[in-house]
Amino acid sequence: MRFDKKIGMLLIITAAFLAPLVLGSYSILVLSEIFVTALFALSLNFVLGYGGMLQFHQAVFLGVSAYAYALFVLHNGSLIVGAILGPIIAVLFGTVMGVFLVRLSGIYFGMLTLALGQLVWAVVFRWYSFTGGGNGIPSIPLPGFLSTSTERYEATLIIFLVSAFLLYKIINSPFGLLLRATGENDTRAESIGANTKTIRLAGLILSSFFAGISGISYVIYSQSVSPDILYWKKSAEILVICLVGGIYTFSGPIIGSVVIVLITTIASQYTEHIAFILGIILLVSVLFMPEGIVGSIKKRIGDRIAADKKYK
Amino acid sequence: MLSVKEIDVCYGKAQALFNVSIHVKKEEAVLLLGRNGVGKSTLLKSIIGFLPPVKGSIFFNGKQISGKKVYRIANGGIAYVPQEREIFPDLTVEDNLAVAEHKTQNGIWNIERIYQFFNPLAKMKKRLGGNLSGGEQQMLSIGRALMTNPKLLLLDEPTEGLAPLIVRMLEEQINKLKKSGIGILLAEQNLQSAFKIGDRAYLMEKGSICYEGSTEDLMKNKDILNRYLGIR
Repeated sequence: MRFDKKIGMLLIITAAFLAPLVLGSYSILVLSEIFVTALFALSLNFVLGYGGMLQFHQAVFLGVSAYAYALFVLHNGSLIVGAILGPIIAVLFGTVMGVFLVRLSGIYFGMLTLALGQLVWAVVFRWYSFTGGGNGIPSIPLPGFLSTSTERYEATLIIFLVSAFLLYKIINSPFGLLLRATGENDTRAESIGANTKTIRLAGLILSSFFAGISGISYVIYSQSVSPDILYWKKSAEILVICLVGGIYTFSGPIIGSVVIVLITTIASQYTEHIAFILGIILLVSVLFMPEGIVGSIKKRIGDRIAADKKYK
Repeated sequence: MLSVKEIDVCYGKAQALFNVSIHVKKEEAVLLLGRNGVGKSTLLKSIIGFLPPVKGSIFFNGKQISGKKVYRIANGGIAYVPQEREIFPDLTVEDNLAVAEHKTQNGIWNIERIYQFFNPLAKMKKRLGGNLSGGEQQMLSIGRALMTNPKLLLLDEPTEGLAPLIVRMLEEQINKLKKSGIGILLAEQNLQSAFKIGDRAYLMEKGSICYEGSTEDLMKNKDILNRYLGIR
């Protein structure tokens, strides 16, 4: 069973690397978007699903990282340094916000993430002379080794795979265990000696780091930034992706990204009302698959194994 | 080892404990007895730090712990097993134990020892905490507390709502813990169970201590048992 799973994953990864050989440039672009979105969703789920924190405005970290790269490069900074600077700036924002956020819990935590996040968005949106305001920054230079669409595709794929692997390792480390325990029941975690505030802060910082990396991946994919990428709608979208995929599983947000990006891409050819379609998807998933796609499938399989054992 | 000195504890404006003083010596099992709602759980929560006293102080091994953060008190060697057990439902049995692991210098507890101590748990290492029976959850909850290698164990009605067979097994294991040198403060309504474990007992009534004495003396004192616990 486990063996099959590994081979399956290896096949999918190989197929993903070879995809540009058979697929057209548009399909490749959609796949890139899936990788960027999936990494972004994983970074959110790290605090949402595992840390139990209602982070309603994850897009800020993707946004500031992408903007940091764009602005640094625009002012003649080195491309590589810019790419490293992005996640660092995201971590900076994550740390400052986190210090205030960990004092709150539940819905109050969520409200503060929204308030702080919209503050950052407002600054980016209004500071026309520095950020380009509502126009954003078009045609951002990329390093020479990312000049073709295939190269950019492979880059987003590699960034996604490496980051997902690291996140998986962190979640299954002793720190990850403490984060999950804190997420499930923070008073209990505290009474077995865990400093839950520090753990939650560390969780937020790590999450902002990976969101920052997805910001760089986003620039590689789109070669432009606009204030939309750190608007609350972007955060709501990624929240829906996590919920639809399943927040209590590692692969849930990835599957959610595949499903939602594909559906919205196809639907956008017929209608402009994407939010309406997202709403319906969320409604259906909450009503019929409250644990998300992956969560529900796992439960079905679990039930079947349990039933088999019973009758043996 | 533990000494609680004249503490008052409040839930918001409502005072729950009045001038309570108790102490637990090393390797001693002390009972907190009394009817529902007299303040047994409140006292335990106050010791572990969830409800810091508004007056008086709590000392553990000579150091003041009242007013400190819960995780500092826990790391100082006090483990608390709440009445609700509160295991982590989405973590496996193994992870529930691993998450509490504290490697102290003289620590004797590790996952393997917990599995030996609570044998049934060894057969369900990969099962989710939420899918355990009440008795199994209680073993896991105590096991998780032991993983912190405590010097003092606070137990809040560990046998409540469990099958007689499990209750007997828990009594035996708690007695073994006592012999291993861990101090125990046990809040209990099940007297039969409590008397098998305790060396000394405090009786509580309306948020205060109303009787203190050895378990043997208390067992003979029908008048007190009748008055405060309603036993004839």
